[in-house]
Amino acid sequence: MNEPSRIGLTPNTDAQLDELLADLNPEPGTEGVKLIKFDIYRLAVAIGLNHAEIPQALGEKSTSSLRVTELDPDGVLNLAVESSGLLPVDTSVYEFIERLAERGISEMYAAYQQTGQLALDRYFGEKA
Amino acid sequence: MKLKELIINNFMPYKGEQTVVFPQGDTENVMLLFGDNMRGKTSFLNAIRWGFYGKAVGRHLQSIPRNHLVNIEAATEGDWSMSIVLKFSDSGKEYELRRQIQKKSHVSQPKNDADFEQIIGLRVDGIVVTNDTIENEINQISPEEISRFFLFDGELLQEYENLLVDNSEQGEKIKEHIEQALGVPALIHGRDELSSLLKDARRLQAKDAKKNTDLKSFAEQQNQLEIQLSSIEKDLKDLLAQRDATQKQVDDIDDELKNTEAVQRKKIELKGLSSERKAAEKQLETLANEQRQLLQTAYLDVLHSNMAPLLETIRIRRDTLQSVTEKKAVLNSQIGTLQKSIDDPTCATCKQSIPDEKIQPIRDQILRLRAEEELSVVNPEEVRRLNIQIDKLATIRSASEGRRLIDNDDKQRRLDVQLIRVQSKEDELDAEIKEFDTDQIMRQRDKRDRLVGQLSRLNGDIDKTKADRDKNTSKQDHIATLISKSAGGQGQKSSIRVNMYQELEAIFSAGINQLRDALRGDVEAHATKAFAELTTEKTYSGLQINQNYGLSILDQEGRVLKQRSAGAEQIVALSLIDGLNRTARKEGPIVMDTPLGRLDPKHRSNVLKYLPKMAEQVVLLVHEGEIDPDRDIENFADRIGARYQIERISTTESRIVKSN
Repeated sequence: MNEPSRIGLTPNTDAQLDELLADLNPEPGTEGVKLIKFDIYRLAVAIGLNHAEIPQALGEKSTSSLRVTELDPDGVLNLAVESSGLLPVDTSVYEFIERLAERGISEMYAAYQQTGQLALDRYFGEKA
Repeated sequence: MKLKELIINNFMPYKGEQTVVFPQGDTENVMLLFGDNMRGKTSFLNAIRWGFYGKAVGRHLQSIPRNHLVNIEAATEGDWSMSIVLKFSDSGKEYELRRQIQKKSHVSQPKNDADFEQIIGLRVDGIVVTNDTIENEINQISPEEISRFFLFDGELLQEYENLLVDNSEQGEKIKEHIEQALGVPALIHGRDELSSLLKDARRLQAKDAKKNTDLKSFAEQQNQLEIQLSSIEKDLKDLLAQRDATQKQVDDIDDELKNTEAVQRKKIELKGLSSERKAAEKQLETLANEQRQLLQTAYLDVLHSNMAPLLETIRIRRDTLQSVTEKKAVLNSQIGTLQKSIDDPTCATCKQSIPDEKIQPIRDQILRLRAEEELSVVNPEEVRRLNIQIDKLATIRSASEGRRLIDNDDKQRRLDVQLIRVQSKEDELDAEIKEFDTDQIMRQRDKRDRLVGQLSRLNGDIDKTKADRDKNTSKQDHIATLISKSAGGQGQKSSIRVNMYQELEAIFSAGINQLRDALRGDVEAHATKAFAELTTEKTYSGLQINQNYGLSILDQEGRVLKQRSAGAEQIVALSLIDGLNRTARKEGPIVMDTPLGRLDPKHRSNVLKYLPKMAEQVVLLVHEGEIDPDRDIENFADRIGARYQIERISTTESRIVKSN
């Protein structure tokens, strides 16, 4: 199975990711630790795997803005997906990762919109 | 003197006519007037003061202007008249003193004292006294100078502590009042008048001396010194005026700052809240950074917990395969050993041959073990693959990011709540002080500091000028003596006059000191007697008076006590008032406003027992925090002749009612 060199999100979810980053990061021009797209993307993939479900394929064309070698330099995400037993036969690992991220970020964004905070309890609490 | 009746009309909070009848009994000589703060206790005291002397005083003993004396409600309704009628008896005579002010007919809105006319009337045993002698008559019975000691505001008692501070401006003022009440000014005026006569006499002497060739130079010197003295005295007068003006400015600022004390306190509280808010915001910033840092690697924690069951399963599978491999090796070893014994059937110990019937079970055992060994099939490739998978999955390490993120979030929530509380409090305080110009308050504080510095310099200049004046008069005295003793001056009328005034002035000066010492001795003795009854510490040996009439407590060894509590200060001040009152006059009422403010229950009990003995008539203006109507009254219940209560009608109107 051929693996893509770039993956991304649908434009809508990509915009949601930008919005999340703007909210979570310090005000522009101020100092402090800053999050980048990769950070939230990886977290969304990990959370998506937790659902133990096969996410739907992307409804629209991906933005393909993230280089796979940068996103998963140690192949950890690849390994996790391969080990999860969720990967459909006809789907490449990173395409599957893209689907996981798409769903994870949409959910993250929706929860953030409701409470103004990341649903940390849901992601990391005892029931997670 | 005994007060009989007070009729108040439109005076300060007392709208309309209100009458208070004072107790007349010899033993039931105490009148209680209860009133909460801001209801009109001090106004009642001022009503009596104004009735007697036409003067009502506020803070720093400054006169309250007439337009502030008329009840504001009555004035709003157009009634700008106010009156006080005092009925009292003295030396067997009955007095009725009426003092009234009303707006002048041509004035629409009175702004200053001149906008009112004052009408005063006095009847003695029903006979009208002529207007020009009324003030004199009143001062004969109860001189205004001593009113400070029988009409006094307990809240000002602490002023008397200033008498213990050398060169204190306020202490000097109080000392002046005390000496005025005790009659010292009579001698001081006498000495001053003699000084003035002496000055004139010296001038005449110098004039005579000028005619004499031998004494001409003395006359010149005397003239020069006199010119200098005039200039020194003018300087002194200017300096004293400057000092008074500066002191007034300080007093005014103190009044202003006193009114804004609450604002200043709130401003300081606001500063504290602002620091608290900044610290919380800083902490939130740190936590937000920490949160973002944790979020960067949080996916590993999620993957770790996701992969943990899989990793465990793989490990179990690998371990199972490894144990099968180990078991296969053991079986092979066992089979090998048994096969050996069949291949060479000789006992290793006794070297005898093993019989066939014993060989057969060994063969059966080998067959069983072989069957078992054949079942233990392990694919080494699978073990290797599992090991690789384990190694890979083990690289997904967690730093407990999830738990730390939840802890961090919890801390952020708590800080958010704290921040909201602080911000609400800040907004509340901001709103409360919004209408005050806090910068102006700070500027006034700076200005006060500058003025106090200026006062200190002025006092230094005054002391120096006084020293110059004394030096000058001493030189003049010396020259006058030289002229008097010279051949030309001896026997001359002007010289005789100078000598006489010099001696008289010296006598008066010595007299002033003697009188002061005697009065101080009397005040000390009376105050010590009162103190012995008032204090709860019975080991104290008494009170010691200083040059300024300040009193110090002496311990059992007669040593001055260095530290005194607020309650002790008040007891000492009350003792001083009692001492001064008894020294200044033989009899009369005493009216005390809030006299028990800073006392603990034991001192309060002592004071309440002692108060009825302080004067033949005692009027106490108190709030229920000072005298508990249920608990404290028993200390002197048998001495109470009348009880009144000030009732609030509105913020600008109160009414005095008789209570049981």
